[in-house]
Amino acid sequence: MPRRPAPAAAVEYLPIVVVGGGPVGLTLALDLARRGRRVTVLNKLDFIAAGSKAICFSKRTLDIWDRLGVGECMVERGVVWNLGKVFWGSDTQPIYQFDLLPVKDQKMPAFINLQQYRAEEVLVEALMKCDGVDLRWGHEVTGVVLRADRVRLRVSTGGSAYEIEAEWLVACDGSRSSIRQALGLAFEGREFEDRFLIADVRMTTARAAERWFWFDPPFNPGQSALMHKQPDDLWRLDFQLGRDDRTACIDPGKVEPLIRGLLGQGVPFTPEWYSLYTFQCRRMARFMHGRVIFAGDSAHLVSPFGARGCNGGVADADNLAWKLDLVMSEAAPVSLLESYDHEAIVTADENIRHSTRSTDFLTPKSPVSRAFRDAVLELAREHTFARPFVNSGRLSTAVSYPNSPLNTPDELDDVWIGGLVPGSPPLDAPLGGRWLLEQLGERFVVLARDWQGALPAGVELVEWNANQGEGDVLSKRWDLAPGSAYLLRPDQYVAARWRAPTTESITTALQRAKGLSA
Amino acid sequence: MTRLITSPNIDGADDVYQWLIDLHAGRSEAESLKINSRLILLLLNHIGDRAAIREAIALAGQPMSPPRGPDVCEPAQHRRSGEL
Repeated sequence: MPRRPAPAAAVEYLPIVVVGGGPVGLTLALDLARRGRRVTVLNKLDFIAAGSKAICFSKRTLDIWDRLGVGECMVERGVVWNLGKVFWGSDTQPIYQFDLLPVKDQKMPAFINLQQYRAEEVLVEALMKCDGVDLRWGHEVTGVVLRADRVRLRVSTGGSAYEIEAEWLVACDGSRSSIRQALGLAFEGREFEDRFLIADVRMTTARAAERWFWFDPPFNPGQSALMHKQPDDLWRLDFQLGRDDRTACIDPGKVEPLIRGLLGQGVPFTPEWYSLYTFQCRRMARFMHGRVIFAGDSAHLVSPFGARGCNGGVADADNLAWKLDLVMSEAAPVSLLESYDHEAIVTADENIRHSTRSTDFLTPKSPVSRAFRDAVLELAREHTFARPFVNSGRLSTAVSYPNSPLNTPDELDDVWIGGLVPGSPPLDAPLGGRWLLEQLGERFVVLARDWQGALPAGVELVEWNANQGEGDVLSKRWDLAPGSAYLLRPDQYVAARWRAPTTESITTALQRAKGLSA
Repeated sequence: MTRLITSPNIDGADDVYQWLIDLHAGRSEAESLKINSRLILLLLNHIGDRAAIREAIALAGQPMSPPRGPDVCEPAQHRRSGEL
């Protein structure tokens, strides 16, 4: 990446600075840029770092990226998968398998696997085409001072330093966030002792694009293993090494027997990347600190099982961008951003809860815990009832905000049979030869059936009617009986719904969703 | 409202108790631990009532009052030795 020199002025005044050029920072920058905001991204490194990071991108992340115009490109470059299989011991038949996209007729698949650096390339390509985006590679923040309505940053690049005064700073700078540390903010949680080994290897094979997980396989006795297909004949292998092996190191003499054991003795492979890791589950008490907002791993950290790290961070970007845009255009009060704090913490807590539970199942911490875990696996082979207890990682799905201050509760007299309650993420369906989510876009929308009245300013109408020749998938999914309507936010979450909507009730719910009234 | 039945609800308590003891006869503690785990899981699924299961889990984890000696007015330290 060409390194941009330090600006000539002593202090540069900027509206939004995003620190960190990973998938979260880049997604946020793209979302803001598409809303017409001027965004400056500061990234410590002056290149896109290859190596083993996130690989599994969830349907919700793909829905978000599709809203930002890069979803199809990600799917094209990635490996699509929907199925997970769990093996135990030396059995070649899975004891359990799960379909991660049980609801069909949606544009995006349950998951794609794509190397993080390739996802970042797609986001950078899209950002290069946007006006008002300034990507500064090799610019490191070395100091932060909070002011009442500003943030002062000291930045160093190429041996020189300069200062920025920003209206808003979003720290997407990862688990060791320099912004969090500079502000002396706590990052509390648990550290897990088990060590894991990642081996990315290249090989040509006809193996299916599925998530394969082993408990206690013969090639890694007493531990677990995980296998994922990536593009370019690259495979992600992940081996649990246990707690005792404190001296574990990336010694090819130790790593290769594991790989050969998993792949089969005769299968040729080329090592691409080996790394050891342990993990932690942590979260900041608040994500908003004056004009500094934390998003992604800087704010919350989970184990890798369940693909909740990067996907959780992209959810933050999705949640924050439209709110920050409304606040900066003075269409909403600054207090709207408090709802980011609420909703992103709900998301983080759900991710940490699932991730911690998965970890406890994968690495039992006591003899009793191990006995229950093994009992579940033993029973699961023969008895279907035990299979839902098998936890090899509960994979990331969109999180609901049932108690968000932006929701308008259902009218007492309205009867809904299913559908999407306020605070729910959207659910895709065919609509007019395209997809619903494509048409919801990135502004406030009323999704209605047989709407007659006037809509408040700034709200667009998306209509479903029974004559579109696509059956009633959408009306069933959303319980969209004649006359009903939903109000959807710019991140496509459900803000409100009515059996008999009026202009007035929509207006009130819209105000509430913008944080304009309690 | 309490969902958990804590009054007698099963015939032949002595038989049922004996089945449990027989299940563990000659097993190591580790084997018994796993057998008990399987048994708990099987029963939980059969019960299938989350509220009742939660109550049972809470009740099982509560400290139980110690067995009473012949004289409830006796001081605690004496009572403990009296249990032998």
